[in-house]
Formats: sequence, C-alpha cells, structure tokens
Amino acid sequence: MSRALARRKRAEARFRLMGRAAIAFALLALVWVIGSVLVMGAGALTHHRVEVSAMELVDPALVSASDLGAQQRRSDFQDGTQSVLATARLDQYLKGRDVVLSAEQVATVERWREQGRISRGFNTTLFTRPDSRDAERAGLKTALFGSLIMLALAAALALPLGIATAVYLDSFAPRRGWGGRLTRALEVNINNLAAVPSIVFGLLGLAVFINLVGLARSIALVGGLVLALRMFPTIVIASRAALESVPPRITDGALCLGASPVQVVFGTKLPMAGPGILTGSILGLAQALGETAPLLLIGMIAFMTEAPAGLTDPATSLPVQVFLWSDGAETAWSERTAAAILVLLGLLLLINGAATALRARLDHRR
Amino acid sequence: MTNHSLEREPKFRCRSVSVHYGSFQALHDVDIDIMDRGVTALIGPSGCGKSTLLRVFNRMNDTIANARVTGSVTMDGQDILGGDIDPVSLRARVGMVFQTPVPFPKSIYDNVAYGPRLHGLARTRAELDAVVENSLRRAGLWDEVSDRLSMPGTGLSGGQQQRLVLARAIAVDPEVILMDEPASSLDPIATARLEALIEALKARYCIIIVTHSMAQAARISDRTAFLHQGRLIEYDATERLFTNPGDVRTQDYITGRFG
Amino acid sequence: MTDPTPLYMLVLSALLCAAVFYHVRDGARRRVFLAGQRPHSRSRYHGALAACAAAAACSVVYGVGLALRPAGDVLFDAGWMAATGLLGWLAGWMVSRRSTMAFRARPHVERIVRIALAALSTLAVLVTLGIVASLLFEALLFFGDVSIVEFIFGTQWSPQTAIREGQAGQSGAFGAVPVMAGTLLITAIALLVAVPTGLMIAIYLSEYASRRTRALVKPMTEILAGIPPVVYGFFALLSVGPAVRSLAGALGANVPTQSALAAGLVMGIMIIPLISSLSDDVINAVPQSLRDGSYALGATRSETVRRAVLPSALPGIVSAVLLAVSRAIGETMIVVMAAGRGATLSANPLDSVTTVTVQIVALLTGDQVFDSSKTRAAFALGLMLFALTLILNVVALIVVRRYKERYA
Repeated sequence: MSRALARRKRAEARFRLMGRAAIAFALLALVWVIGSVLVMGAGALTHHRVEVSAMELVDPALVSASDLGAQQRRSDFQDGTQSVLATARLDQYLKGRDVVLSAEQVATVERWREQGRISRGFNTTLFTRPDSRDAERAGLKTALFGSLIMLALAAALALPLGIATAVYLDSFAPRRGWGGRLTRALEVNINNLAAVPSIVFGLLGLAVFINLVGLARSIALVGGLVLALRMFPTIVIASRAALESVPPRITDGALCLGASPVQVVFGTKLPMAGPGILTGSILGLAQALGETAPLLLIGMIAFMTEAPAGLTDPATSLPVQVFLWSDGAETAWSERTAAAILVLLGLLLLINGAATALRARLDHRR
Repeated sequence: MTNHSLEREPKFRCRSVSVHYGSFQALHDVDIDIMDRGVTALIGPSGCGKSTLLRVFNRMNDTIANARVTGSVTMDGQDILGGDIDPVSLRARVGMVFQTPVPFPKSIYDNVAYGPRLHGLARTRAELDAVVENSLRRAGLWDEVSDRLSMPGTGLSGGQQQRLVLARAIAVDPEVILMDEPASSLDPIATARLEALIEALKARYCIIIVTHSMAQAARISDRTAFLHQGRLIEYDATERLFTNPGDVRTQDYITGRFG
Repeated sequence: MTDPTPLYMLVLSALLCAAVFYHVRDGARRRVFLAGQRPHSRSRYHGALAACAAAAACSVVYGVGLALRPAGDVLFDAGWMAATGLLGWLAGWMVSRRSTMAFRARPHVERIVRIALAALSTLAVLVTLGIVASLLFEALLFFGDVSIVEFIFGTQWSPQTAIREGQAGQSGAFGAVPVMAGTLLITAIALLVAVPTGLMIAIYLSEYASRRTRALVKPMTEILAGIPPVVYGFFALLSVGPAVRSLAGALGANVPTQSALAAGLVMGIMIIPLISSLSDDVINAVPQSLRDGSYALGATRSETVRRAVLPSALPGIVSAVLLAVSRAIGETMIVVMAAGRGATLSANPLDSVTTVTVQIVALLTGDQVFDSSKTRAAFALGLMLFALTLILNVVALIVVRRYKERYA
C-alpha cells in the first residue's frame, strides 16, 4: 500500500512539473520572440552621420549619394560642411557588424573618425521618410500613413455595422418559428465568419472589389474595405457578449417604467454595454492593424515611395512593410525589419493599453 | 455543559478544533468524541459550522485555498491533522457523500470502480467486478442497475445517483462515511430508502451525518451534536438531547424558535 | 472614383437631414409648449421621423443620379444637388404637416429603426455569400481547365510553368496532394507543440496555481496571442530557422533554413494561447463538486484532473483542438516567410514544404495576368481551405453546444 502510495506521489510531482514546464516553455517563447526582435531592432534605432564639406568628393559606398545630392541642392552649406547619412554599409561597419570594406575605405573612415566627423544619433529617417531601395534611407512614413488611413476607413465602416448587427441579434431578432431559425443561422454564420482564415477575405476582396467592381489594385480603399470585413464579425461577437452581460433586471426596470423596447435598448442597454463594446472593438482594431495576408492578395506588395493622400491612392501598411523588408538579405534590412516590428508592437501595446485604461475609467464611473 | 465522553474508545477525538477561512473563524474550539459503529448527527442552523466540522474528519478543508485548521484530531489514537499524515490515504479510510450527488461523467461501473482503481484494491478484472457488485449491493442499487452498468451514471434519477455516490464511497472500503446533508436533494421516498440504508450500514461503519432535518437526526442517529455560530453547544445521546436538552439554545432550536 | 462630387452629395444629404430634424422637432416643441398638453410622442420623434423621410428621399435621388450621371457635366451636378435638397425638404415637410398632439411618431420611428437594424445585420450573410460565390465562380472556371480529379489526387504541383501562348494543352501541373501534405505536416507539428503545452498550462493555472501566479501568467500567454502573425514569420525566418539549421548541422544533418519544423514550431507557439484559454474556460466550468467527489475518494490532485476533470471537459478540449487545427491550416504569414515554396511531397519535418496558403499567395502576388489557370488555381485552393475550416468550425461549435447543454 505505501509503495503504491509513493508511486502515486511521484506521479503527482511529475504532473505538477509538467505543468510548470509548459508555462516555462510558453514564457520562454515569449521572451525569445520579443527579445530577438528587440535585440535586432535596437540597432536600427540609431544611425551614423558624417560631416561632409561642400567641395569634398566622397565615396558613394560610404555616404548616401542621393542624400548628399539632395542636401547640396538645398544649398545648406553655410558653414561649409553638412551632416550626411552614412550608407547602411558604413553604418553596419561602424556598429561592428561583419562588413568588409576595402583598405582605402577603412583609411578614410579612420581619418573621419579622428577628425570627429562621424556622429551617431537617433534614426529619424526610419519614421519620417518613405520606403527606399537603400536601407539607410528607408523609412516607415508610407506604411504608417497607409495603416492609419485603412484602419480609419475600416473602423468607420465596421463599427456602426457591427454594433447595429449585435444590437439587432441581441434585442430585436425573432426567436421563434421561421424567423428564429433564420436568426440562429445568422448567428452561426457570424461565428464561422470570425474563424474563416484571413487570407480568404483577401480572395474575396480580389474577386469582388477588384475583378467585379473594377477598383484599382493595392489602393487604400480596397484595403480598408477588406479590413472592415475582417473586423466585422469580431466586433459583432464582442458587442453581443457585452450586451448579453447587461443584467435583465435593469432592462426589466426600464420596461416597467413604460419605455418602449427601442428606448430600452438605446437608452439603457447600449450605454451600459458601452465599455465592453469599446474594448471588443478596439481589440478588433488591433487585430486588423496586424493583418497582412489579405492585403498581399489585393496587391499591396508593390514598392511604394509615396504616402497615400486619399482613399484611391496606392497604399501599404505596417505589417506588409515588415514582410517586404524581411526579404532583404543584408543585416541592415533585418535590423530595420525588426525596428518596424517594434513600431508595430508599440502601436499594438498603445491600442491595448488605451482599451484597458478606457475600460477601467468607464467601469469606474458607473 | 458539553458532554463529550463516551463509554467506548472513540473513533475520532477532537480537542479545541478551530477552523478559519481567511480572517473568518468558522469553528471555535470544538471538543467532540465520535463513536465507532454508529450514527452521529451534526445539527444546527445554516452557517453554524457543521459542514466545516464534517470536512475536518477527512481534511477536505485542505482543498480550500485559504482554510486553516488548528487543534488536534485523532482517529484511532493517531493524529490526522499533522503534516506526516497524508490526506490522500486518510480519505481512502474516510469516505464522503455530498449534498448533491455528482457522478463522474463515466459509466455506472466506472464510477464505482474509480476508487478501487486509484488505490489498486483489485488486482484482476474479476476482483474489480466483485468489488463493484458488492458496493452496489450494499448501497441498495444493484437490483436497479445490474443490467445497465455501462450506462452513464449521470442518467440515473436523483435518489439513484445519491446511492451510486454512496456505492462509490463504499467501494474504497472505508472505516468512516461522512454524509453532508445527503437527503436534501431527494424526494421523501428516496429519503426513506437512504435512511434505511444508513440504518443497515451503521453496523459496519462509523457514520457522521450533517442534516438540516431534526426529524431525520432523531430517526437515524445514536448521538447528536448541536452546533451554533461555530461552537459546539451540546452533544449527547440523541434521545436525551431531543427530549431533555441541557442548553436553552438547543431547546430553542429543536422547538423551532430559530434556525 | 477620383471625382469627389458623389461624396459631397452624401455630406449635403446628411446636413439636410440634420436640418429637417431640428426644424421639425422645434416646431413640434413650440406647439406643445403653446398647448400645454402631453403629446403622444415627444417632439424629438417628430423630428426623427421627418429626418427619416428626408433621408429616404435623398437616397433615392442619390441613387438615380449616380446611375444617370454623365461624367464631368457641371449642369447635371447642379441639378442633382438642387433635386436632392428640394425633394428631401419636401419629404420632411410632408411629415411635419401631420405633426400634431395625437401624431404617433414614435412607433413609426421605432419600426424604421428595427427594419434598418435588420437590414444592416444581413451584411454578414452578404459577406459569406460573397466569399462562397467568388470562390465557387473562379474555382469552377479552374475546374473547366483542370479536371477536379487531377486537382484532388494529382501528386505534381508546379503551376509556375504556366500556359504559354500558342502551345495548346501545355499547362502547369495542378495536383494538390503535395500542397495538402505540406499543410498537414506543418499543422501536425504545430499541434504537437501547442496541444500538450496549452493544455498543461490550462490545467496548471486552474488546478494548481495560486491566484497570484494565475494573474501573472495568464496575461503573458495572452500577449503571445496578440502578436501579429507577420512578427512570428520574421521570428521563424531569422531566429528559429537558423537555430534549427545549426542544431541539425551539429547533429550532422543538412537542413534548409526554411523547414517545416521551424514553421510548425513557431506556429505551435502562436496557437498555445488559443488552446490554453479555451481549455481554461472549459476546465473552470467543471463543477467543483465533481472534484470534491474525487478528492473524497482519496484521489490525488493529478488523479482528479486526469480521471474526473479532463473526461468532463473533454468535449470542450476537443473543440479547442479543432479550432486550433482550423487556425493552423489557415495561417498564412508564418508559412509564407518560413516554410518555403517548393512543392515537395515529403513527411520529413526537416524538409522545406509548401502549404495551401503559401501557394495562394505565390499564385496571386506575381505580375501575371488574371484569368489564367494559375490565378484560378488560387481560388480553387481557397475554396478547399474555406470548406475545410468551415467544417472544422461547425463541428467544434456543435461539440461545444453539446457540452454546454450537459452543464446548463
């Protein structure tokens, strides 16, 4: 008996250990994902610049020639020198990465370094410039604008539609007979739509908006529409959950005071479900911000150097930019990709933080 | 005054047992001796601590995160609150039946075989069959379910489920059976069957039963303890306690002035 | 579409409706004030009904105008705007004429609200129909070119040798078996990682962990769920892929950076929170009395979990796994970035394999013309993917509903 008991005790300890190991594995994975992106992306947050005098002839392999040209045209050479972007190659060399420069180039760099002409500063290019073929000049402006414009459109379409659908299903949809059957079919339909792989929404966008309606490929309008369709079921489900959590005694109370069903829903139920709806919607927005696959299918894979000004301009988005940059072979590109991911994760963190804070505030006020 | 001495050597001997749930004290310094081979009833108004006391005997309070038990409880002279005693093997000796019967989502057979399988009480399939049949017979359920042992236990009626859970407890071959208001979810007929069963089982087991119904306590128990606000008020032979209570609170309770 | 006039028309209509609302409401309010009685409906409903009428008139004019409109005709646009304003105002005015004490405006408005909500909620159906129709339409065209038998049973997938002009009958090979096999291989690897890990996390958090550990670990796993797939793709490509490669290299095997193992591993990590949170829900839904019953029989914690809790929670866990499968086969970015594109038929997790989603992306993101067998093949694959995930989701829903009925 006691030996059997000892065996059972060991099994118990083993089981508990397995649970701990599983948690450790998940946390380790989290640390590994975030950590590897952080370590790689941190390098791209700073960049080297070189002070170049007006008349100097410099090696285009060391200093960004197009940047130099642009600066000279602007005739900013008042004091005779100007700070110019180092090329990705030079920058990587200065950061101690594995880059081979010729002896002559090394000598030049050493001379600049002695003269104190090389400085390292925050990489503003990454945030203020559009995409470029040169890693040192590539920035996220296009992608940030594209994401912003498409998310705004998607939210403007999906939020009212999603909330309206949730309100209808929760409060007005028929529950009995044939109508009830239709309602249940609609509910199942929405649940399934939420679980349809996002790439299918890309196929839908391609077939309907581009091939059927005839909108241009890769424009912000199509991207926003596809993201709206993607967000819609998420918002409906979150809003329904929030509406259902309003206790019936409250709506009953309103009905007893002679309010009509529509007045109860819009005057009592919807405001009470507000924080929940808001949180769910914001999470849907976050999901749409990270969405990549459907956007690739509607043609947002082209190289884009201009931020979209309107809905009918070609656009790209932050995650798509991550995908495009991840193709680059040099470490300068993978650094920038990781930095773009950091920006994306930062935005998601901001959105989620805002959702939590808003929710806490609204809940508190009640 | 509390009378806790017994003629025979008691099965359980509790001395100044207190139970805290977080900062709330559910039981205050209870001294009680429980006799073997007989029925002891714990009565008292809701929240008086009778279920808490019951859960002391098989250390079920261990499963509640913030519960703390102090004092001393011995079973056959052996301390059962100490760290060296293993609650798992204790519970194999002290069976328990709950207020609402919750069969496992398995067949009737597997429900009864659950304990024997855990503790390795049967070496062969035939032995296990025998244990299951024996337990179901003792729980008075065999005749009703012998032809459908592979059906889910959740498909039985409430009274049958309660007897199934009892058979499940008996199958581990315990020395003590704790019952926490076993009849509260049963109809009068099922309750009568259960009471007859308890009557038959008390020859073999030490039975401690928590009950809401004073009539039930009077019918089936040999000794009755009355608890009030976490304190043991009175403990005596059932007949004496109900006919000649020594404390005014017991008097008030059994005559229905509160509770 | 660059022509902004239709947009201005919408703004104009909205402004008009707002104006009608305030005008009629204030009119009704004045009359009530003068009469000093209680009307049937409050004045705001009079206004809302008038605004609804105006909106209806405006949308009719808008629709008709949009259909008839010649491009760049300023005169037409001016007339269009005037018609919108006039008819909208007229509709509002007709309602306002009936605006008396006894006018039952509220029931009318509420009926309109209900109908509008019902109409809006049909969008979900329209989207689904759109998906099915577009997938079916293109896929059927595809099956006109390539026989369905070849598509389902063919073991050769090389769509890159596309149809060349003037070379009749010469097309790429469209046998989907290698593509399906790759998808299943990666899904299997992902599940091997995610199911044990996710399940053990759920069990530990609900049965063993203190409240503090739970409050700490649960949000952490949810962060894992909030990371976009493209980030996992990058992670697989630059961290896990090379790690797998060098590990296998140390053991003497030559493994490409893009391997099924790397993609499956990372996909598994991504799916862990899905499994753990769904399982956590169902394990917590198992009544405490069931656990007590098991403890009272002398079972240890792990015995209680394995023999009493898990069997009760099994349907919920099965549906969680089904949803995870559906998620894994539909996942795109990780495999696009980390699994490779060559359609090799292999069960070796160290090989580079391709998946349904990878092929869809590959077929549709080149510079090819539309309406070739290549692009249509993507829709056929999409149809397959859609049908597969749909079946998995429906089965998961049914299993979960059964489970809920049991513990209702």
